[in-house]
Amino acid sequence: MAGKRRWEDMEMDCLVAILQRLGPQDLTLSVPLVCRSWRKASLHPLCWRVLNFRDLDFMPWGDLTKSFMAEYRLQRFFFSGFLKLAVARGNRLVEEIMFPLLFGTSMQDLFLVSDECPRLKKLVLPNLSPADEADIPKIVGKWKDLEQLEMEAKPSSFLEMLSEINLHCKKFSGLKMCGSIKKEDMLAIVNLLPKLKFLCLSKSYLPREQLLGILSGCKELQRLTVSDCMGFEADEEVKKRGLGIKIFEHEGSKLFDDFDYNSDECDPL
Amino acid sequence: MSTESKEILVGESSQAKPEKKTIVLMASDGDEFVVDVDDITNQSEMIRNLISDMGGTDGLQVPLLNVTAPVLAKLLELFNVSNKNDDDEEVTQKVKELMEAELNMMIDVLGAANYIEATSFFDLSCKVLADKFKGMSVEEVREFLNIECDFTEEELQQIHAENAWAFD
Repeated sequence: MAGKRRWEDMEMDCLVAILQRLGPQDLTLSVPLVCRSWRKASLHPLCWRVLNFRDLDFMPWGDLTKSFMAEYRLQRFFFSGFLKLAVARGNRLVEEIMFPLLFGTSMQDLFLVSDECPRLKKLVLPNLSPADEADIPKIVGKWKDLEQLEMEAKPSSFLEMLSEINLHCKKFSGLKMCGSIKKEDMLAIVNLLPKLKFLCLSKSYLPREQLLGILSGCKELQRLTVSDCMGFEADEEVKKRGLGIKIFEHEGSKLFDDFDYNSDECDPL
Repeated sequence: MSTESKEILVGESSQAKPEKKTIVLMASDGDEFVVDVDDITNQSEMIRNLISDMGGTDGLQVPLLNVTAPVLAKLLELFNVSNKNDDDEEVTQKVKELMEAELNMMIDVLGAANYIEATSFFDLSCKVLADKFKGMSVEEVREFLNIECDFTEEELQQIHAENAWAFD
């Protein structure tokens, strides 16, 4: 085929539009090494607006670690460094971060993100130790544009966290987590997150009373997902109260634990 | 290669249904393409805005200075597929076929879509290309795109430094 140098001549905004759909692994290990124009495009902050680390393997024996160390002749490779690199490339314009679930994230990483990513809209938190969870309320208020927060388990600092969100994150509209939802949690959700549109509490312990509280209290709710919960059954009353919500998902939820411990645990993986 | 691109035109269908409103798109080499107004404004924000600024479509001719006739024909052909299908499956498939068969044409179509602000088609095409590049090695990308490494030794050093600093 003719036109050998066409890709180098492609307009930069088109190239960036393509490359920004690749993840941080491709954007560090292949894209910058292809040719000059690809390298230039890979340094554009738009390519780093969405940082999805969730599916990457940061284990010392994983492919990412091995490839990165070999390519850039490093003695060591670790998540905090990779995050620092990606956040620097994002040039304070990062809008979404999905942390890896289990391995390698420390509170220092979250502090870095709170300092360097003021435009953050969506955050998927890693699993943190109870001691680290206590620090979440201190940083969450820094993200004035935060709209969506996801975490595996309800943190011990949940109520303080919602207070901070209420004070500082005026566009907040989506929450996903699982845990034991007590009355004070339900009241906090209803009172402190007035613009909540999306709520997912699947696999939680969610007593019927709290579910009904959410159904009548969260006026803006468009999507409520409470699948595989324990503590309520989707009876006529529950379904009737959920009619006003565009999407109401409650499959697999039941009143009691019927000793099927394989399916109703809050699965951390 | 691009043999079929010129025949399949929106102009043909507009003659069959004369009651429909049409405008003329002029490619950079002067070729004229008669297109259905609804079909084109469904895709192109630029033309939508132009029609609204001009206050109508009567006798409207839109010169597209950066778009050659074969590229415009291919773009309109893909718009037709997109307009006829509610979901993106069919047009995604067509874009994939184009990418595999005529990569250079694909680049030009992408540039043209960007130029006339055909946002959803542009996004879809970018995604098709990005999916292709996902997980490819440097050598695989170069081979697929038929490009050569144009770095100097100094630039390679610089790239290493750009990626290594965070791990000190």
